[in-house]
Amino acid sequence: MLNDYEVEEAAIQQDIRFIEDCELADCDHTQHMAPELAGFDVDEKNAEAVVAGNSLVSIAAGMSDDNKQAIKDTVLLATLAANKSHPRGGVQWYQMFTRVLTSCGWFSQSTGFSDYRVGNSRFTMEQTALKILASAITAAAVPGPTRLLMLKVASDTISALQESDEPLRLFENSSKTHSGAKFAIGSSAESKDGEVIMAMGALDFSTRLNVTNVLFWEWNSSSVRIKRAENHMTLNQRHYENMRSVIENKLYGTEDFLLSLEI
Amino acid sequence: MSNGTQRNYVNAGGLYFFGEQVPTTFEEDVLACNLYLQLAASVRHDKFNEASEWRHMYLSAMSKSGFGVLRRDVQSIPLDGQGTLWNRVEQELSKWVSSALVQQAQNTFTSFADSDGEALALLKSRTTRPLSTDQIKEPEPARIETGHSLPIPVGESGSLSAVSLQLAFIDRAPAITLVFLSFKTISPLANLPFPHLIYQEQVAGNLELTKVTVELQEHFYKRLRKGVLKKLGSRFAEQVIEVEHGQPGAQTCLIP
Repeated sequence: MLNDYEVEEAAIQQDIRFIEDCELADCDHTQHMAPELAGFDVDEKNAEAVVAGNSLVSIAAGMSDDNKQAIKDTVLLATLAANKSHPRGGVQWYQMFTRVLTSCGWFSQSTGFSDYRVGNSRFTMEQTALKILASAITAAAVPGPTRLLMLKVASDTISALQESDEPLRLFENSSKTHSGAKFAIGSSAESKDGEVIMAMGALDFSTRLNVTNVLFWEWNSSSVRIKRAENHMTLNQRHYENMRSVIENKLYGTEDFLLSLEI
Repeated sequence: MSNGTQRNYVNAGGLYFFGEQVPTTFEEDVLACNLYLQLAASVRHDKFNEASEWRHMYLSAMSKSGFGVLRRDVQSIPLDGQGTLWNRVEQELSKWVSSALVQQAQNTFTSFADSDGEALALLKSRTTRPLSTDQIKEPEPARIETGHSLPIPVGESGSLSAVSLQLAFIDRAPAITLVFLSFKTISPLANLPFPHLIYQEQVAGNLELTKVTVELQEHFYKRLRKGVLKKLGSRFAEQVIEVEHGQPGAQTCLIP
């Protein structure tokens, strides 16, 4: 009979094997994944955001650098793994995405993928994604001020993304599928006692129209079919610390490209 | 800890401008890894005659080494007497770099006017080279159309020099805005004061200008720091020289 510690260790070893074995999109083991990651400032109070492929996460001001990096790395890893295993999106994409996040140390409470009906006949994906994210933030049952902060930062992030250059291009290009788009948007914050929370909305839509602008195009509700999922997560720091080097090696390689160059 | 003052460095073929809020440790990291990238790119390409390939190698190595690229812009600009080369660069920098840092750069150029020290000699040697006739290539094609392309004057090509200068602006860690300038000039470079180089009104052919803003994250670089400094060895102290703001000729090495 295993004790609690041994059960936890077994789970960590299982997650390490899972992360080591998962394949990443566009990974040729000589190229780091940094080109898939683009950060940008959100507002003057130093909130920031990161685009990791087709995932967009805002980070409220006050989070430690280590925790910011944990968010960037885990979301990037989950996105690349899901894109590799299920490039067309859909339910399986989201399952892989959350599976990787969970293995990295996020305690996740997720809804399944379901159809989403838009109230207005004309809408943008940006508005829809923010509504889904708002629902996820509410479900996270965080204190009122934190909830408002996470909502505000998420909204500001979308505005800042619209004005950005490389991050917007990366997000748009990574999101498009052969018949629509798939993406996730999240909002994260760190509590006073160091707990890191992240709420996330995932959205997958299909259409017969050619998608040129994922977030800001005004759609007619009859021309697009949307599926969505919500998730709110807490980072288990002990689990993450056990996974950190595995995640870094997976993303950035064990051999440093720069140092291999002759100078 | 930030040092609370603006600081400027010659870093081999580049001029690096740091704002007041930039921590000293970040300055060292930026200078070291960019020197490393300059040297690595120069092993594979001649930056004067293969400026585009050199730049591509530099930026490619950068993105493969953990720098997050925030934005990038490549232009080929004809300078047809509408102001100086610096005027044009300044215009291009307006949405990329704070006006305070641009002013800091301008003050540094001016301070170079009377100085003829080690830093200036290093900068000149790494940024300018006379071209022989068989080394002269046609202007590189513009990736972003900006208008017409000025031809290299045929009769003058025998006295052409190539200039490949890097400017780096760091307002706040971890963002770095790098500007790569490549052009050819018929000016007699050997005796040219630095301000004349940056303030000249005409160049031969187009000004090739690449802007890129990247992030150097401590998280990435801490794995590389020791290795980079070890491989650079004495070259770091030899090729990174501080230029004291507003005090022409006063120079100190960053690391003794």
